[in-house]
Amino acid sequence: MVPHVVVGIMIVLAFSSQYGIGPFLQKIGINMIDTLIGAIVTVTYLSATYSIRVTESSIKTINPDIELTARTLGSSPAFTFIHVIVPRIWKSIANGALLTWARAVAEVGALLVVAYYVYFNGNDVYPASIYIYEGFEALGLAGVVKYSAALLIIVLVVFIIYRWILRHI
Amino acid sequence: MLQIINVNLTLGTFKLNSISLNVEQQEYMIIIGKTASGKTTILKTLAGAYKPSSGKILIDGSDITTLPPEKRNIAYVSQIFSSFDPMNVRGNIEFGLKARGVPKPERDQLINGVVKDLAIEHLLDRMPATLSGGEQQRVSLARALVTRPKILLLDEPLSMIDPETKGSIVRLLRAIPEKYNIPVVHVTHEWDEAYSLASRIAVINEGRIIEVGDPEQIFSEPRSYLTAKLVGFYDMHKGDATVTDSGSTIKLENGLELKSRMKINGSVYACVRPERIKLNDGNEVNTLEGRIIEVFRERFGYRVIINISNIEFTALIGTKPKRGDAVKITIPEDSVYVIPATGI
Repeated sequence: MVPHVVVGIMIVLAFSSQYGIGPFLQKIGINMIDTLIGAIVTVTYLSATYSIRVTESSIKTINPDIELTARTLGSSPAFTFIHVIVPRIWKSIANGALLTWARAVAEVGALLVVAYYVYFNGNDVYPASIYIYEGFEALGLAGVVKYSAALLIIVLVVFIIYRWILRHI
Repeated sequence: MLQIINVNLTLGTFKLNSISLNVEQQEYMIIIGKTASGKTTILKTLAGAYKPSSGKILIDGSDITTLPPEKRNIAYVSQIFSSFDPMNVRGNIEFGLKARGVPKPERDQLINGVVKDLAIEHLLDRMPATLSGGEQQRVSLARALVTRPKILLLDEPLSMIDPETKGSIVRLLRAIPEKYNIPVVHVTHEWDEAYSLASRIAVINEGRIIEVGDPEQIFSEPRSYLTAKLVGFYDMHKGDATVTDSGSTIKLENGLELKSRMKINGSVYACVRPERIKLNDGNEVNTLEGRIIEVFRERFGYRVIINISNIEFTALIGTKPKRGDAVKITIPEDSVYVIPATGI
């Protein structure tokens, strides 16, 4: 619903060192802007909806009588969730996570505002999508084809391996 | 012993109204009612899925009204087989014991006992999805009984079982209260199931218990129109009754007269079971002439609908009649059961 650039601006307003709870986070050593944690929070916020929707749909397919049966046998809500519900939905959770990751890899708009580059391990690291976008601006189409292809191959390989593992567990 | 005292519950537009019921130790209580009458809601309220807005539920005198399901020690067997995937049958039966932290040697001992009782030793290593309906129901019962519940709740346990298997499950169910020294509360809409299993029956309609009694009383002398309808009185015709020397005469709305042994005056329903109606037996009392308008095959013969002066009567007969045949039916006086046409 909300354009991702606007989400990025909202995150800056909420967490940068001058606004919102940013000063407090700064005091306890957490910096959200141009950091790995800021990038993770941003893409998680924008992409987690895929996991949530898939998991929600999966939970809705479980007959509530199953949970009630387990509870009347003496099982606490936590025990029931872990031993009865999770075994029925874990594949959906895993599929949702994959979709979330794929969507996160593709994020540009909000990252342009929150984590244009990330200071990580002594270096400034660009998120792949931003690096490709920047390359396109500076070098044109021919200059970024190889990076785009590389990213595409990585995503495809991860997809294939992940789905293979899910199918064989 | 289970005591339900004046329990009220609202779920959206549905209400349980002032439900009160006592179920004694070793009693097999059946709650019978048509679809959406509230029978499963009562069961789930006892199990702890819903919190009553008022009233109390007591087990052996202890108030469990607000306890969560896992603290009630009431086992609930749902209508569908709720298998805990991907556990095998042993894992399913063991689940409640594991959740309660019962040590392994004790678990094994309890499982061995219950699977022997229910004759499912050979199923322990099977996956639930490979079981037949009857086997699944036995596993559900084993899983519930192995935890030694204080009460067993059964939600239409025979509804998914083929008629052949039903007989053996009925025997199994009937033995449970005595064998495990617990009360059983079983809900159903099948009156023959209720009749064969219950030590007492409660009739529910629109969230209200309208009648409680022993099976013979409920089936032969229901106190309300709805109960009579539920327990197999096909023909229930409104009329005016006048007391006579030998009972009463009921003048039906189409002018027909029926005699009954019951002495009653005023507006009534004359109720007749189809198996009590006889065809062409030459008797003089309550002999009516009509025409067969429908014939249905049944397991034990034919169910025929006979039109008599625009009122329909249903009879069960052994030989196949033809649609359109003119017949004389006789309804013995002691088979005309009369209910006052007041309330429900």
